Amino acid sequence: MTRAEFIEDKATILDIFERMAALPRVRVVYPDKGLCDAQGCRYVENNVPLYSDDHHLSPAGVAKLTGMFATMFVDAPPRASSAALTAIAAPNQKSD
Amino acid sequence: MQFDKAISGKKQGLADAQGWPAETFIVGQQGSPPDTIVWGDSYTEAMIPGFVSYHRATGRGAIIASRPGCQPLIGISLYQDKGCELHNAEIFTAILQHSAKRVILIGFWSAVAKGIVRNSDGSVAYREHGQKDGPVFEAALRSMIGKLTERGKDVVIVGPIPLQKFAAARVDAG
Repeated sequence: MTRAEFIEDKATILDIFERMAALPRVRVVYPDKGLCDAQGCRYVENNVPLYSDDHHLSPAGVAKLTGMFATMFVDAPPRASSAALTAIAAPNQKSD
Repeated sequence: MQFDKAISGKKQGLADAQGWPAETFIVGQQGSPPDTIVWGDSYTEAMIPGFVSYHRATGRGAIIASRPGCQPLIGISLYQDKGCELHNAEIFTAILQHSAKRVILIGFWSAVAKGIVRNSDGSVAYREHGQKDGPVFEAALRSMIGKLTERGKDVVIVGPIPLQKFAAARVDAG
């Protein structure tokens, strides 16, 4: 799946979550930031599957999200705006 | 190579979270309750290894409340399964009563966003062939999040996982 296909496939959800992220005390983190690049959203890397089926991540896939896990546990202000958070928490539509 | 698509916290070696509903687990020490609750469906179970790794690296744990097929929403009977509605209500009540300051929501969001509709009597329900009525899902999610933040909880939503168009394990084996 290409990144464009992902964004098209999830357009409704991404739009909704962008609005949720504007609410006080709410943040959204995006797994695709760790799973996709300009070439697409890979299902295997170095012969190791990143998925255990067509939509559940395998342990190797989850291991690609180390940065996302750190971001989830950050004690962020109500409307996080630091560059560190933006790197993973920014909505996809505006980051590509 | 073949994986289970999602494995419960118990099968992943986690202990039951004391004082929580059944099938709720703890990453960390029982004596020092984590400040974070993770609530969701099988996507949550799939991400447990990440929470375990993060705890090993930082000492920060979490309560894991997951049930396959039950996206973290309240007041909605998902997939005609009353069990989800009851489970989610139980977890939501426990979250409000707990001192944790952070709630992480994980789910197969696009599955429910496309199926949640509003009935003629104003109630919200899941329909197998819904009208892809995103606004109803959005209102339900916004309402629930509002109840959490009003009680002082920070909410972190984990966005959508890119879908693949095949089963990775089968392709790898082939």
